[in-house]
Amino acid sequence: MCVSINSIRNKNGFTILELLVASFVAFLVIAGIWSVYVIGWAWWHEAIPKIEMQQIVRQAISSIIDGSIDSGAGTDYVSGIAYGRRNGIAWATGSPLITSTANEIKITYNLEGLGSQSFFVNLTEEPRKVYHNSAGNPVRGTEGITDISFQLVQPNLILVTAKAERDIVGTRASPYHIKVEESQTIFLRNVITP
Amino acid sequence: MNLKKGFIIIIVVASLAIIVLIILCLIEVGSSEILQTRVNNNIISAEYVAMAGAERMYGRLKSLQSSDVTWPQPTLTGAVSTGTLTTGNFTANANTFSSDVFAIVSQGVVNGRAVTVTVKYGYTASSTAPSTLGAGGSISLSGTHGTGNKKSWVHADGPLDSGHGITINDLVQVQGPMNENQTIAMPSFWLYTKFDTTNTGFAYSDGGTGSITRAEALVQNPAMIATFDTNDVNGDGVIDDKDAFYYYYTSYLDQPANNMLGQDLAIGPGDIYYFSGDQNFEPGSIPSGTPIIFVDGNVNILFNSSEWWGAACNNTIIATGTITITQPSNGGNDTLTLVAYGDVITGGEHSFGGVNGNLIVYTNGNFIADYGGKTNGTVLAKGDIIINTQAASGQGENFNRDFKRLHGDWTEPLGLPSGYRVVTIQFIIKDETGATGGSYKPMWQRD
Repeated sequence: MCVSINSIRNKNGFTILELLVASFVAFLVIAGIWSVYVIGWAWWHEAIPKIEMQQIVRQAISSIIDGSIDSGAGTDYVSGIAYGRRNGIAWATGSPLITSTANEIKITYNLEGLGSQSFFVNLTEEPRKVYHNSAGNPVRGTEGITDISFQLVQPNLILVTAKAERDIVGTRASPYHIKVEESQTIFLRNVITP
Repeated sequence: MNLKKGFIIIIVVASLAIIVLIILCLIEVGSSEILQTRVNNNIISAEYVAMAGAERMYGRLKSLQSSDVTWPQPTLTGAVSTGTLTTGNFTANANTFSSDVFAIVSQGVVNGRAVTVTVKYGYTASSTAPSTLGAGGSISLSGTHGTGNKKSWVHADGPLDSGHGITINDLVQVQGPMNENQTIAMPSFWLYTKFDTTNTGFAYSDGGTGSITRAEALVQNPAMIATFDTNDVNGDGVIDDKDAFYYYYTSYLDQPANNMLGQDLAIGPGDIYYFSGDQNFEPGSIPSGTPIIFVDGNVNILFNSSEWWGAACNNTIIATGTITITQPSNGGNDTLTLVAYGDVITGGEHSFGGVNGNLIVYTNGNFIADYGGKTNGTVLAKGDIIINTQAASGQGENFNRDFKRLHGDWTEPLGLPSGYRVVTIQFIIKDETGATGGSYKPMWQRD
C-alpha cells in the first residue's frame, strides 16, 4: 500500500511551532547567503584595488631595480652566445645620484654601454607614474604610484621605497583609504668602494 | 503546490551558484597572487644561486693563477643547499671575452625557474713581474687578535718567495702560491763598479766573494791600488758590497750615459741630491720633480703624502743606512722606490690615504712592516721580511695590512739595478678596485 506525505499531513495547516521553526531555518539560510554575498562584495571592492596597488608597487620597484633587457646597452658574447644587459640600477657602474625637489624625485646612474640613465616620478601629475630617462618613456604598469623614495645607505647600497594609496568606496558608509608600501634594499655589485 | 516546491529548489541552486562563483573568484585571484609570489621568490633565489655558481668559478680561476689556465674552462656544476635541503642548482662556465677580459656565465635553477648571470673580470696572461714579497731569508706574516672580536688581518697577493721558510698565523690570507726554500737572486751592484773585472775591463774582481781586501786588490791591479782607499768608502780596509752599492749610485748611475733618464742625476758627492749623514724628510723637503736622491746615512720619512712632490711623480730614495717611512702614500699613477743598504721599516699608512700607485722596495737588510695599511707593489729583501699587525695601545684592532700586486706592467724604476728578481705568472686576475690603470672593475649582469 502506498501512503503519500500529503495524506498524513494535518489538513488544518501548520502549527505555530512548525511555522517558527521553518521561519528560523529560513532566516539562517538567507542570513548565510547574505553574509557570503556581503563578504564577496566587500572583498571584490577592497581586496582587488589593494592587489592592483601591490602590483603597481611591485612593478615599479622591479623596473627600477632590475630593469629590462635594453638592446641599446650592447650585448656580451661569451662562447658565441649573446647575453643582453639590463638597465636597472642594480647594474649601475657607479654610486647613483639622488635628487628630490617639490616637482620630481629622481635617481641618476651610469650603466655599461648606456651611459647616464635615470628613473623619476613627476610629483605634479595625477595619476603619477615612473618614467625612465624621459617624460616620453613611462614604465608600463606603474600608473597609480603615489610616492617613491631612494636612500643611499652606502655608496653601493640603496633602499628603494614605493607607495600607492587610494580612497575606496567599499562596503562602508564613507570612502576609506588604503595604502600599500614596499621597500627593497639593493646591493650594487658593480660599484666598488675603496 | 508544485510551483511552491520548485521555488525552493531554485533558491537553493541559485544560492549554491553564487557561493560557488564567489569561491571560484577567490581561488582564482588568490592562487594567482600566490603563484606570482612563488615565481618571484624562485626567480630571486635562482639569481642568488647563479651568483653562487659564478663565485665558485671565480674561486677556481683565482686558485689557478700560477698555472696554465685554459679557455673555455670546464663547466662547473653544483648545488646550493641548506643542510639536506637543496635550494637550487647552478651551472657555471668561463671563457675569454676579449684579450684581457674573461666572463663567467652562471645559470641558477630553482623550482624550474632559471636565471643567468654574467660577470666580467680583467686579467693578465703570462706576465712577468716581481713577487709581491720576496726574501733571501725567511718571511713571517702575523695578524693580531684585538679586544673582543676585533682582528687585524694580513692579506697578501702571491706569489711569496722565500729563500728559507714562510710562517703565517691564523689571521693571514695569502692569495696565490707561497714558495719556500727558493733560490732568490738579488740585484748585483758589483757588475757596475770598477772593482769587478769579470769580462768588463774594470780594475778588480771580487772572485765571487763579495769583497776585495787591499792585498787582493794589490795583486790584481797594482796600478789601481792608489784609488783603493777612495773606493773603500767606509774605510774598513775592505771594498765590499756597501762600497759597490755606494759606487753604483754616486759614480755610475749618476752619469747620463748610465741611467734611463739620460741626464746627470746630481747624486754624486757634492751634488744637490746627494745628502751626507742622517736625513729627515717632510713635505716640502725635496724640490718638486726630483727623480732620485741619495743619502749616505739613514733616512727617516716622517710624512709622505701624494702631494709631497706634486700631483703625479715617480721618486726613488737611496740610502746606505736604514729607511724608515711612517706613512708611505702616493697617487694612483705614482711609483715610490726605496732602496736601502740597511733595513726598510714602515708603519701604518691608512691615515694619509695609503699607497695608491706602487711601492717598490729593495733592501739589503730586512723589511719590517708594523700595524696596518695598504701597499701595492713589490718588496725584495736580502734578509728577512717581517710583517706584523701588532696591537699597540689604541691601534692594532681592525687594522689590516694588505700587500697587493703591482699595478700595471712591470718596468724597472730609476735606481734599481737590473737583476731585480722577476717571475712569470701565467694568469692573474686584475686588481678589482678600478682605482688605477691596470685594474678592472668586475661587471655583473643578468638576463
